[in-house]
Amino acid sequence: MDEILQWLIGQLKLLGDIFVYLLPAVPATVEVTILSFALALAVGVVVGTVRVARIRIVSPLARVYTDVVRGVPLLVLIFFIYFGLGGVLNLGRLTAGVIALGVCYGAYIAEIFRAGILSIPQGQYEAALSLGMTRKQAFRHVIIPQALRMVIPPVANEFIACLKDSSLVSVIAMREITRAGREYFSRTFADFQVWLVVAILYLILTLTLSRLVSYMEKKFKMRGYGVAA
Amino acid sequence: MIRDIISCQNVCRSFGEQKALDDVSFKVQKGEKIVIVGPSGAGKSTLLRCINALEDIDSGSIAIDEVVLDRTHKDIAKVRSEVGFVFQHFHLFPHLSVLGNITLAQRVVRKRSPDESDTFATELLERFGLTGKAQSYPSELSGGQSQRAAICRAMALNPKILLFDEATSALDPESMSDVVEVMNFLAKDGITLLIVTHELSVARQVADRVMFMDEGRIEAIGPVDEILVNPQNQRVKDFLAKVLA
Repeated sequence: MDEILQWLIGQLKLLGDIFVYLLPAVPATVEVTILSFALALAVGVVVGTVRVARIRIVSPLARVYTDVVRGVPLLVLIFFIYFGLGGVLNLGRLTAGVIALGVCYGAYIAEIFRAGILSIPQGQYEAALSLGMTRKQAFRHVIIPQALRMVIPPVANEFIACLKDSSLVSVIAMREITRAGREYFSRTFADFQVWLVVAILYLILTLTLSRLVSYMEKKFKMRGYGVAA
Repeated sequence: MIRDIISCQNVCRSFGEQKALDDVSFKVQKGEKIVIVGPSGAGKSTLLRCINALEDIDSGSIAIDEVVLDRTHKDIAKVRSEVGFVFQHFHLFPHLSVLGNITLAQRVVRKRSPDESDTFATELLERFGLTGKAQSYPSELSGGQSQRAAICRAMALNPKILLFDEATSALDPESMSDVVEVMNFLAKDGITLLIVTHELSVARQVADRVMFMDEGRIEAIGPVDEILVNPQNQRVKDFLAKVLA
């Protein structure tokens, strides 16, 4: 009985120890995620809009961008940007990681945003034009504000996915949660305990995010959207 | 001489094999109220959409106040801003309040100040019986209220011409008479009106001239009495017999 108790206490101490060791790496994960996602949103909104707007040369380029990025594994993209471009442009780990994640998620968000724009009924666009708005004004004041509200749920999913994928930047030695986990593991070989704590930390972050997202959905919900034709 | 505010010459528009507009020519004088009737698929809506340059034409020409429409021209937006369009399904902007719907184009297109836009919008709401609805959202309005809000939105730009595309078809009878009343009111206001409708009563109440369309062509055009009371044209007679039966 005593032995089991001793073992349990030992395990709990170990888990606690790992937790304390990993905690300082949490801000790095949050930082990479937020910066990458901000970049991804900016890229996604612009590229998504450009794809729908059918502008010469620019729109086909936007299409090439989404196709290429979606077809390349994120891990390869990270290696390419950090070791490939990073060597030439002298990019730091954080910068390279943020660019890789931002470029990757920018493509996903562009597609979501494009679908969001296409889901707005044609009549809205025509109503805007009939009021003398230019194409640009119609997009800016009528189509995009509605599309943005439509895409909150799928974009929020991407945010959570981006947070999880930020673990991949550990391969370029960015010291975020996963990297810190590997460090601790290589010192103690406590594989089960280390990855358990890492998983729990990610879970806490993603659950917090989901909560935040449902709050946002409520806040930005259009009064009775979808009822009016 | 009174200027023609709308001038259509030999306008053709096809959708694949179907000729939506087949050599349509007519002129409208400033302040005239034209009611367009005819069976579904006659090209009535297509004609209105072409006049607002929402639809391309294949050949012929349309001029608004002596400006020839060209959808590729960069000033097409300016021409459109002189022509209001009221849709069958309203197409109010759901993300904006009623006030926002009515002020948006004033600010963006006419470059009026927010104060000026608000004042004019409030005035319009009052005029069209929507006092107190400024802060409501489109989804909170009844059909009749929605259509009146949409009319306010179009009127906010002080258009020279107002086009109604079956504006009462999606409404219940009570809301319908509501909107017809608004049309009457606008007619007295001196604005040029083109009204596509299935309601012959609208034609009798509002029209200076009635235009009868069938299969993309203008079959008859003239004063109400000539077209609806003593029609000479066989197709008009058939149509009226069917509708009034």
